[in-house]
Amino acid sequence: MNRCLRGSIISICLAVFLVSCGSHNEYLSKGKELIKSERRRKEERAVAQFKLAIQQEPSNAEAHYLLGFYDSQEFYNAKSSSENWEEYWEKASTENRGKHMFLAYQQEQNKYLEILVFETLRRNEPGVQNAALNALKRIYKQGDRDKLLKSLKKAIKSKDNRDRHDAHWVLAEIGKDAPGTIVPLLVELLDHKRKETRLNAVKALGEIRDENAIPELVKIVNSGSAKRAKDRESPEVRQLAVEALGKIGGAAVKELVEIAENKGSSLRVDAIQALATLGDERAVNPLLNALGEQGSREVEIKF
Amino acid sequence: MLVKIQSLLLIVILICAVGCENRYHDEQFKIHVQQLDSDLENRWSTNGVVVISVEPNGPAARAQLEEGELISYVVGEYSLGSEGNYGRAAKKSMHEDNNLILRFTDGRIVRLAVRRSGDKPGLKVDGNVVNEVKGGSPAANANIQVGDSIDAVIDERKIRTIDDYKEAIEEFTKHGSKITFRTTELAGVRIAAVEALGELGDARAVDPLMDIVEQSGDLSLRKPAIRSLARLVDFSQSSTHSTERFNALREKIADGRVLALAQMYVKRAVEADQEIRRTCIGILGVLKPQSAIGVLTAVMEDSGEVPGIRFQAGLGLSQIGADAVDSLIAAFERGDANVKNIAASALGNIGGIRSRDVLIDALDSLEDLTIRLTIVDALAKIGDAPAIQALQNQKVRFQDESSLNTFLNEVLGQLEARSM
Repeated sequence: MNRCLRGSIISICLAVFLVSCGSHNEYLSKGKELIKSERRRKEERAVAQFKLAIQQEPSNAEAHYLLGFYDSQEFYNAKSSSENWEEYWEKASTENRGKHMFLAYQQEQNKYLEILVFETLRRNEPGVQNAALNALKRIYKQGDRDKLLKSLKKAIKSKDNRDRHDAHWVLAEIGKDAPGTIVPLLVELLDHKRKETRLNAVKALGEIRDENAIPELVKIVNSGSAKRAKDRESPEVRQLAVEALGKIGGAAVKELVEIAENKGSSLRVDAIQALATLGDERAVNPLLNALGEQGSREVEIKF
Repeated sequence: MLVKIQSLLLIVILICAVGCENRYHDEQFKIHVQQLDSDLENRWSTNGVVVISVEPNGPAARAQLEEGELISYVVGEYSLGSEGNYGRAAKKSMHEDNNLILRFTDGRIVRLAVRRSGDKPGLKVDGNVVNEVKGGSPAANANIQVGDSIDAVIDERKIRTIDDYKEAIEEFTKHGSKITFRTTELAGVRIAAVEALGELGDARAVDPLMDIVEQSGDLSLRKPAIRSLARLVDFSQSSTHSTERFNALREKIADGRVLALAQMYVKRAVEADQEIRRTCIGILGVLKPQSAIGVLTAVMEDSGEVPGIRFQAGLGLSQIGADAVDSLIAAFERGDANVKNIAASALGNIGGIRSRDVLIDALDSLEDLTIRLTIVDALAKIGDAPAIQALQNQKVRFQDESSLNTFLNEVLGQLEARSM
């Protein structure tokens, strides 16, 4: 139901967007008409029109964006009638779809940055999302990086769960190549007032696997025993922080061992489980010690 | 003036800092305790303060309190003696939880629960002797009699914060009461550690895990311990690793102690838990030692054992292979229908001329339909020319027995398809 609703909202937005963008390019108009129609293989046929539109007008931002959005390798295979199917198949790769979206951005930066972050990523199709990610990565490298990061920050702070989730994914993916920029940005978000934003920031830090995030994640984990309630991070975020440390591995093993040894921590079991999956030898002795711990008992104190 | 303000500020900051501290040094008992993680209570239904360190020669050290223990309750006792202070003691005891706990001179400990704060437990005490019990009251229900003499009123304080701890200790020491710490083991930690040790593939984990299986009285720990041992045995037999750690594990498993343990705990007379017995069979099936043939055959023949485990013992013998054939044939020949079924199936898995001939003979002579079906299946697995010939002969012989015939047709059809 939810997916259906989301799908239709996106379709309506897209339709409004398509109508509102008046164009003089005949092929583009035809392609957009096709998308709105109920005709068979409409997307495949629209893509052919968008390609012609670009041939006619190589700098048409909308045609590039729509080609990146709708082109799909599913349209082309050996059984298709086209002789050059291999070439078309290659052109519909994530890489090339992202390139077209990026070309649209180059023509109209603000407009397409907004669309990519807040609309395209929401499309519940991995092909479209990956193309958008590719375009955003290109923007990071070749476009207005500050504006991109500002936009992603806005999205991860959003009230809308989908925006936060999409932004966390993009930040994590960009962060894998550029941890030096993204990790500090995410660390800053760990103090954000919205718990879900902090949660997504922690998740992204785990996915980036950069060891520089370790001290901050440890701080979150250990905040559970802070005396003042306001200094304590919520259990879900703390649990995710342990998981993130488990994903980072390496230098985080030492920290996970400490959490596993901290007998006042509610996250001992989580830390032990993370250590089990990492398989690091440093975990063996602390775990053997945990086996020898006292069970529940009564101790009389004489004074 | 400025200096005064500055020092005042410093004092305020210091007070704040001390107030926010989540640790406390108990000078009297010589321990440091720490505030517990806030969500332990929600997640593990646990409360308390954690012992961070125990100073040598202090009262806590003498009582053998250990680092890391979680003090969940501080229990004090108000001794009544002859002069008595029952009223005040009872009020204190019931203050927090509406429970009055009494220890009588005959050693009985009675817990009286009242519904609401302020309700009376229903007894009057003179000195330390009960002189009135109200009918229908919690005291009457707990069978307290007039004339019973009370040794002490017990006050059990649940500890959630450092302040709770300080307050309880202060109260009890003020009255010179006997103090007992009730500690709680954090549920799940030892189990998680046992499970993790199975994953780490380290030789050092073998002995402690064996100790748990052999010595612990806690089934919730013994089950994961044997599973982890089985994981380590699996690891040791895989050929994909060749690190120093892995070689150490292989050597450790090869010393035979785990094998001996599995052979011991596979027996129903030794181990009551079927999951543990089952896991032991798994270990024997991986190690495939000749020495396990006897014990596995015994399990297979044990009519009191769970059918699934008996069948698994048969599979274990299949894994051992040719060496187990003699024992399986003997069991097949002397056993009842169940044993024959399992043994026939295992002989089919192992194959070989002797297995085949025994099965062919049996197919001719036995009447039981289920066993004949199993034998047909086993011979189909062996699938050599004499086996196929035997199956074809049976087809002619049992034209009238529909279920056997259908099965024979199916099996022969499959064999034909395989040979094409």
